[in-house]
Amino acid sequence: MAALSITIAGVEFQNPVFVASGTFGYGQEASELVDVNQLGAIVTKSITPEVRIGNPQPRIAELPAGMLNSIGLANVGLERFIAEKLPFLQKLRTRVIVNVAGKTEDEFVQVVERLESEEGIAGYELNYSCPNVSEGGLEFSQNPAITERLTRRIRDLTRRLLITKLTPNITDIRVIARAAEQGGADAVSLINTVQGMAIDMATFRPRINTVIGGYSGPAIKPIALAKVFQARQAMAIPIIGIGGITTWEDAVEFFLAGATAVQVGTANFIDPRTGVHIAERLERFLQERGLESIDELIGAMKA
Amino acid sequence: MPIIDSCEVIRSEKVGPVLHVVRFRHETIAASAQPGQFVNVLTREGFPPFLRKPFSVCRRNANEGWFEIFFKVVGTGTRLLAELQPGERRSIIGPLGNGFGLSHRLQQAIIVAGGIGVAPFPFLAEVLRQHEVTVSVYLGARTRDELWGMHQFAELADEVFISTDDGSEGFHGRVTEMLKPRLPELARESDRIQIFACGPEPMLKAVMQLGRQFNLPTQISVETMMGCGFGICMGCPMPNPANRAGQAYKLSCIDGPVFDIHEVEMEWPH
Repeated sequence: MAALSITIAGVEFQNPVFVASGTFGYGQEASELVDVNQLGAIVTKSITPEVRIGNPQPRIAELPAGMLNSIGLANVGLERFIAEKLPFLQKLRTRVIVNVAGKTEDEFVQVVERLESEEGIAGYELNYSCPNVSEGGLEFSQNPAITERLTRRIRDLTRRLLITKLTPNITDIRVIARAAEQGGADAVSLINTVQGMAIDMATFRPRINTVIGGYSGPAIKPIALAKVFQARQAMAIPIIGIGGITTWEDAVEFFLAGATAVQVGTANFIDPRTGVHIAERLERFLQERGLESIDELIGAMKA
Repeated sequence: MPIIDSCEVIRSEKVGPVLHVVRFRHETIAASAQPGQFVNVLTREGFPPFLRKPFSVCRRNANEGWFEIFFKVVGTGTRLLAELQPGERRSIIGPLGNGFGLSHRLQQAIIVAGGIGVAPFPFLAEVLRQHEVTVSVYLGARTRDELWGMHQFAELADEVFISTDDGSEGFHGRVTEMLKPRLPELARESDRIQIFACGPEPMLKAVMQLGRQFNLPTQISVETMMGCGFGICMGCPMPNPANRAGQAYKLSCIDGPVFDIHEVEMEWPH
């Protein structure tokens, strides 16, 4: 799959199709259903310093073309991640990107400092844009000064690939994308979920526990594509496109809009083979179009 | 180990005004499924409905390579499934989850089913019968139109008791009210008895409370909203006693859907 390989800040990926944080567990859960070594990268569930129990039910609500979630960063915590989840990931050929979250900037630092001494991690993705937690969530990610400062603090700790994940719940994504670049990020990934809400007709209650949650799935793809395109105009570092990607055609659109790689998210819940299928089909698409590498697609949308 | 594959519909049967049984051909799923496990079915190509829908394996025949799901038509997904014709195919992931635990000391099984919660029990009863366990079935529904399974259990169970909330068939009242008078007698032999229950949440709460009160080994199969069915979305948490010590919720899909009543709670901690 040489034609599909990409390099971001010196890290080579066998293909540009990753699985998004929070949609693939810790990699092992889906490994009975799909050869995870065929993915470009696995981005783990968000890791916080301590175990997080997450939100009570209902955590998800099904919508016509997507879903709302309010999981609340439920995860096993840093030490159990290292002891119980990382060994499986370390054995993979696929690159592993650890998604890092925290209630404070110091908690992000704590997680990355500890993981620096562990092998088999290609990079970190900073999830400071989760809409479903009361602290360390949206208010961080809507603030360019915090974006730059947090990215810089992590940059100073690591030479590994550093990705800042951006929220779409903001007036102008270009400002935040530039801030991440200024802070020393190697790439930005976007978009995180879109704030959304749904109400049950029978009970008059909100359909998820936090009332407002994160909207994902095919319905948000046009929003994501526009944000990727806007960010592409605003700064120079690579973009990893996320948002409703379900088919290989979706992925191609993201490349054309300027993404260097893509992450498949919610589609994994319906079929965890989606990312692998997209990678296979992308290779065929390149051949059919007479393109030598995926690079020729990136940002190739005609005006 | 679950597989994901396209499965052919080989039979579709309307078994009540809003009740259906659909039979799929798949040798691996049929051979490997355990009672209480479920399959996650894509009700159509594309969407809506956006997500797969989980169904207990209701019956299976390993030799003939088929399994069945039983459901009530409640929304778009189940309506689409009810319209399936033999020869059509659907993507299915399964078998998923942990099924019912069967102790070698088990001599008498008490099955408590409410409404579509009867789904996993024809399969369980068949396996229990093979193990020469005495099977008593307490089968309840809101009304006789939503009762299903009497014919199956006539062959598979030693005794069947029917209840309906509206009194249109059998005992007039809740299935747990019908069961309760029997429990003191059963409690005297609790080491060789097991209660297996599946049904709506209020029924499971009542069964859990009775199982604890009479100290009877009890397993419940819970039905929760699920995003994926195999542990990656974390959308189906179940509260449990360990939450008080800061431990994580269990997930219905991979830790359940069958739980011992001491393993989970039905109320959320606050």
